[in-house]
Order: sequence, then C-alpha cells, then structure tokens
Amino acid sequence: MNLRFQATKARTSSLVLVSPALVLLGLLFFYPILLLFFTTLEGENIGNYAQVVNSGTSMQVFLNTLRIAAIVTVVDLVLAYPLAIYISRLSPAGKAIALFLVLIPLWTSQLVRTYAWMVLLGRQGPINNMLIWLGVIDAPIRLANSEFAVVAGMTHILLPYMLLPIYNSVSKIDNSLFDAARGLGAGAFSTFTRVLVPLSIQGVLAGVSLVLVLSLGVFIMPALLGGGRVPVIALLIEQQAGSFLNWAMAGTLSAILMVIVMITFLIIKFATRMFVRGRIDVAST
Amino acid sequence: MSHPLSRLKASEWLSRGLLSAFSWLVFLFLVAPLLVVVPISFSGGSYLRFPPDSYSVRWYETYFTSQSWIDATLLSILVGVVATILSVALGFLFALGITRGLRSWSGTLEKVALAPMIVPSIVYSVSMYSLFSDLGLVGTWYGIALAHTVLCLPFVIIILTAGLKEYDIDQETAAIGLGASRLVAIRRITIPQIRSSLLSAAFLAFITSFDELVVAMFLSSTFGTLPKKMFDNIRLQIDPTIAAVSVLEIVMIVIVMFVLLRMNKGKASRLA
Amino acid sequence: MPDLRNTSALKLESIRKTFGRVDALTSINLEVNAGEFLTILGPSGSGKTTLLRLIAGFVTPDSGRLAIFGKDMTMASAGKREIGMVFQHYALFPHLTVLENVMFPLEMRKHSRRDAADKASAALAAVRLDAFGDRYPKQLSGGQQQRVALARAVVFEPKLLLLDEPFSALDRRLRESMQREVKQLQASLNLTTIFITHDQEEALVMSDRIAVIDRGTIQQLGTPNEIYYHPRSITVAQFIGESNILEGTETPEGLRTSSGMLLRRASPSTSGRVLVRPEAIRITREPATGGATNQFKGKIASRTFVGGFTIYQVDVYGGDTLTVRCLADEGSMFEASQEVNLSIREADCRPVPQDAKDAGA
Repeated sequence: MNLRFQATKARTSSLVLVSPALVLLGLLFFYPILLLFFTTLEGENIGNYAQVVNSGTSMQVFLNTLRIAAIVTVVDLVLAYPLAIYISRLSPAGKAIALFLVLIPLWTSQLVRTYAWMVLLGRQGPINNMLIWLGVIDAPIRLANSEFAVVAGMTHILLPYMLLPIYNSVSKIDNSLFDAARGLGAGAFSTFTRVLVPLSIQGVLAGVSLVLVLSLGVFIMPALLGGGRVPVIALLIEQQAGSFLNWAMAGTLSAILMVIVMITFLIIKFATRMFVRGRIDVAST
Repeated sequence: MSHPLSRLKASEWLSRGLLSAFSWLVFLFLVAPLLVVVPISFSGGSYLRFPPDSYSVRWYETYFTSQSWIDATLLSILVGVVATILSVALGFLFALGITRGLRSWSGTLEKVALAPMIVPSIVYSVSMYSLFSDLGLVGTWYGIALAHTVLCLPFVIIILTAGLKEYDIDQETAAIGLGASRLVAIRRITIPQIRSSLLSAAFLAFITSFDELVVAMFLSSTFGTLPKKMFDNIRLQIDPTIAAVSVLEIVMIVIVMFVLLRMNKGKASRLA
Repeated sequence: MPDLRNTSALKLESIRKTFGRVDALTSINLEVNAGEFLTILGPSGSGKTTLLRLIAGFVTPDSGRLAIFGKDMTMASAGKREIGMVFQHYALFPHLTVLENVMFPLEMRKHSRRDAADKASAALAAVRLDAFGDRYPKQLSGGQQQRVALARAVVFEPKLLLLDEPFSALDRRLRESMQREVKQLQASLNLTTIFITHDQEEALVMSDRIAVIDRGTIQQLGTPNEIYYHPRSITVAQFIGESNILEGTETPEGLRTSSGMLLRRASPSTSGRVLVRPEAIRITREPATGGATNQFKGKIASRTFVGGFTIYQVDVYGGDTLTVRCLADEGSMFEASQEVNLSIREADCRPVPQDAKDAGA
C-alpha cells in the first residue's frame, strides 16, 4: 500500500529532492551540449558542416564508424543471446557464478581490457604462439593494429551491455511456457520463434540500442588497437581538437556524431514500440 | 525445466550440449583476456612476450616507487571519491523524489537524468572543454570531478531507484507514526534497508570515474589521472608496469564485487 | 461498556478529503469514547483506509476538525499525535531486532537506552515474546510478528491504538486466537482502540461499537447488535451478515412482495422493505404451529453444507427464493426438490429504511 501524502505537499517536497541533480545536469550537461550545437551554427562555423559533407575522407570515416558499430552489434547479439538463455537455465548458484564472470570484465577498466587485447594479439602473444604451435602459420602474423583487433576488443568490452538486458528479459519468462508450447505440439524451432523470441524482443532491442550507441562513440580501442589504421569519428574529433587545435571543427564533428547517435537511438526506440505494441509489457513487469 | 513425462531425445541432448559448449566458449572469451595480463605483470624482462621468459615482481616495484604513477593514482582516487560522494548524494535525493510524490513525472525525469549515458564521452568532453575553458576550470581536479559526477549520476539513479521501488514505504510511515521525524526515519529506517543499493551505487560511481579517460584527458592540462597515465604509457612506452597496474585493478574489482554480490544475495543483475 | 467522560478520546467533525477529483471522505463525524473498542468497517475503496491514515496523521483533511482527548490535532504531524499503530503487513523494521523494534518509539521520545530496553522487554513479556528479543522479524512466524507489532504500538503508552486490518494475513485459527489476545490487551490497558477491517464477522466479534463506512461516509454507527438487527440502510444490511431483503408494497396487514408473499410484522412500517436474516427462518417438514409467525410453503432449490450449518435456498411457492440457515443435523437434512414449510416470526421481519443516507454520530 502506498503512502498517500497530501498531494501538493508531496509534490513540493519531491521537487526539492530532485532539483539539485537537475540543476547539476542542466548546468554541466545540457547547457554545454546545447552550447556546442549553437556554436557550430554560428557565423563562419556553419561552413564546417559543408566542409565535412564535401570531404571524402570525413564521410569515409563516418561510414567506417557505422560499419564497425554494426559489425560489433551483430557479433555481440550472436554471442549474447544463446549465453543469456544458457544462464537463465542455470541453478541459482550457477547464475551467480555466471553473472560474476560477466560483471568482472564489465567493471574492469577499459584501458586494462584494451591492454589485455594488445597482449593477446601481440606478435609474441598467446594467439600467435598457438597458431604457430598448431602449424597454421610459420611466422607470427600481425593481429593487433588492425580493424580485426578493434572489432575484437570492442566486441569483448560491449558484450555485457548486450547480455544483461537480454538476460533480464529471458529470465523473466515463465519456464512453464516452454512446456506448454511443447505440450501444445510446438517443436523446438517453433517454440523458439513463437515463444522465446517474441517474449525477449524488448531485451534484445535494449541490448542492441546500448551496444550500437556505445560503439559509435568508442575512443580507446580504435586509438590503441587500431594502430592508426582504423579511422573512426571519435579519433577524428580528438585529432582535430588535440593535434590541430581546431575546436570549431571538433565541435561540428561532435554535433554530427551526436545527431547520428540520437537518430540511431530513436529508430530503435520506435522499433521497440512497434514490436511491443499490444503485447503484455514483459520487460517492465 | 522439461516436462516430467517427456523423455529427452537425442537431438535435445545434442542441442543442450551445443548450447553449453558455446556458452563456455563465450565465458572464456569474456574472462581469458583478463587472465593473460597476470603472467605478463610478473615478467622478468621488459618486452611484451607471452609467456614471459623469466619472472619477477619488478614491475610492481616500479609502480609503487614511481612518483608519477602514485601521483596519478592518488589524483584518480581523489576525483573518484568526490564524484562518488556528489553523485550518490544527488542521485539519492533524486531517486527519493521520483519514487515518492512525482509519480506521474517520474518517467520523464528519469529519462532526463539518464541522458548522459547515451552521449558519447568524446562529445561530452569537447562540450565541457568549451564551457570550462570559459570558466577557467580546465586543468583543475575539481573540474574533472564535477564532470565525472554528471557521468556517474545515471548509474547511481538507476540502482537507487530500483532499490527504493522494492523498499516498502510503510516502513518509513510506521517510523514517523512511532514518533520519528522524516529525516530520522530516512536515516534510521530507510537508509539501512537500501544500504546494499547505496554501496553498489557508490562502487559503480567510483569505478566509472576511476576508469574514465576521455573527459579527464580533455579537462586536465599538465597533470593526469591514472587512466591518462595508463593511456600514455600504452601509447608511448608500453612496458609491463601497465600489466602490474591492471592486475592490481582487477584484484580490487574482484574483491569489491565479491563483497557486493554476497550482500545483494543473488540480485547480481542490479549491479549491471 | 464504554466509559463515558466529558471529553471523547477522538472526535472528528465534518472531515472532508478529496484526492484529485475523487471524494475519498465526505463529511465524516465520529466520536470515540475513552477506553472504547471501535471498529471502522467497510469494503475496499470505501474510504476506511483514508480515514485511518487521516486519524494517524499521514494525511491531513481538506476541511473539518480532528481532536484527540479534547486537543485539536487536525494539522499535527503523525509523531505528535501519540497514536500507536499496527500496520496491515506490520511494517516491522527488518534490519532491527525484535527488541530494537519495540525500543524504537521510546528512543524517538528520548528515553534512555536502559529505560527503553526495560520498557520494551516488559511490553514483549505482555505479548509473551520476552524470549525472542534478539531475533530478527524474519525469524518469527506471522502471529509472532503481529504480536511484536502490537508491543511496539503500545510500548510508549499511546493515547489511541490504530489497527489496520492486522489479521488479514493470518490463517483462520491463528486469527481467532490473535483476536482474543488483542481484545484482552486492549481491555487490560483500557486503551482506546480503532480497528479497521473489511471483515464483518471480525467486527462483530471484537467491537464495542461499529462504524460502517461506504462511499466516503459513515452509513451507521452503533453496537454490533444494533448494526446487525437494525441496519439503517440496505448497504449496511447487505454488508453485515447474510440477509434476505424483500421489497413490496405496504398493506394494512403487512408487506406484500411483488411476487405475492405477505409478511406480517410486529410493528408497522412504511419502508416497503423487509430484512429477514437466514437464521431467523425455521424450516420444517410439517407446518409449524404457534402464533405471530408468517408461514410459507416451498421447495428446496439447493443445499450447502458448511460444517456447523446447512444453508438452503428455498423457492417459496408463488414467491421469492429465500436463503435459510439452520444448525446442521445429520439425521434431518432436507434434499433438493423436497417440499418444506418455512416460518418466520413477525418480530424477525425487520423494516429497512429506504434511503442509504449518512447516519452520522
């Protein structure tokens, strides 16, 4: 049973409670971001947009960023979905261990994880050693400093963000539904497509949205694992600001990246609404 | 899980076997890269070779005796602690507000507070640099701490809102009925009962700040936080000191996480 | 019986409360005597929970006055009212031990720890839980938790005790023993108690007086007997116990129902409605003898055996279907379709007023 305060009094006191955080977000988040947008539209800065659009390399970098983000998202989905199902069927103790294994990499510093991938993919790293030992290759090959390395590292770092929302929605599905589907004559495949997928679609879309949005802005992995060969927007922005001190251009690129991220986010929001319309709201119960 | 009367068919055994084999490979993919760092950190030589030719603890010595590593670590701890205190304090009040009187608004307000999660850190860094350079806050540790507070807030709010929604508010009502003031009721009854959520939120806020590179890189000038020092080290001179630092961080995370998971008793997903 | 004094323990005058556009309470007047056990009885959504929270001080009224022992408390905060309350789900603090739970209100009143511990132990002894002080609420059974909640509510010698459906989570047998226990404790402390429930049986068992509340107003206030035998409205009659309500037109001989039954009554009335409690109807094989009764013939439509009682639905020839309740007797049960005689004493045909209007205090 909920305490029903006197409505107005409660509203006022709650407003007092939420306002410090809102003031902080307003001053140190929304204001600077809006400022950035408006600055890029002021005076001569607006020309930067034309420059970006007309520059083949910049457009190439944007496309490259989107491509890498798409690859990472798809690979993570393929890895995470079966894993989520597997974890949801474990005993409580098994679940705890499994989530422990998922959360440790999530909570470990991105720099540590990136460094680990540099070791792993190094010329004298374990993967090269194993390939030589197996006789697949004769001499170490270059694994790091490549798009492969960037994608591998990003897939690793973002996997928990895909896994956890899917796991949340899968684990809420009542197991007896599968038995019921079987009992009603559905085979394994139709149980999967007609029961499991529809009931977990919200988690899948939440995971896809998180991974896609995060991978569009990733900086550390392309910077350290790409060896300068994997241009993405975040690197381009850092280069404009840090090396060329061209803050106006860095601002324009940031604004464009922000818009891309927001469009991506909204498309998935919209897709979620389409999928979930008329269906019992599984994820929020 | 399966119907008691249905006998497992061979195909079912096979699909289950495949699922678990695949899952353990994914677990390996998640955890193995972290383990690779351990032998490297005890390497005797200075070259990145796996497995190392000889073993020593010299890279741990290097870390603990290097003024610049220790300074960077202390700075990161300072920034992290301040960002944690601020974000947990503001986030707690915010979560109280949206779980109490503002029910109809709470959805919108929560979305507003979670917005920093979807803005790429590079975009936020460029924005904050412009603002802070006008205010003369670039190159101050508290400037970084303030920016980190913004980045920590969404995590804190998610965890505390979930914790407070599970909490039975009649408890607080009862305390007030028994003679406590609202403040005393919150301190003595509400906070102890959402303590594990508060600790999880604080931990997540701290590592969010402690690991954050891009904002710290843009907003610091001459000095650097630990992630910046690590980034420069990897980029410029890559030696196993970074592996020693990594192992220390992983050990710290594992210990804290173990404690938190014990306290949350299976509600591990709350920490995600 | 209530101990009448000049000042009442609790006095509500024209209390009104709306939430948004919903009228939760419309003009509540109620006076509770010191030492009295008063029950506020109503279905869910009747406003009884709002009324309770208003008395406790968690809600303030839009208008009206509330006084406790003569002192105006309309706007006083919950902590200032000196009211002990037992919540529906007890609201025991799970992170404090049983003893610490009971000590809590004393600590809030700045008792020393030692004094608080002594008083709390005594209160726990009164509910026979002195051996459980070091346990945590989770380690106790439902009935024990209930007793802790009770001890916590009375330990600081409150002026009023509020009980919010405290027995709803208990199973039947435990509920009955808890009811006795609460009643004894209340009597021994001579503590004015306001009890909220939707369970009419519970209300009849425990109360000195009952206030039946529905749609935000008190429909009737009276002793259990008055409420049961002289309901002032259809709502009350239907809510308390089971009832046969027969409607018709008044004739000089009595009430004639639309189906043609004639019910003679002990005293004349113009209400056009008659209430007959199912246990007031005698059911026999042969026509009953004896004066001042209404006699009907009918056929058993159905029979329900509920242990101590048997409930029959009887189709009266040329009349309504009546519910009849009689003591179960294995030897003489009636079968479906069997023809029976019903007799109702004239005094048991009670008039019910037409309008369900506010009965007030």
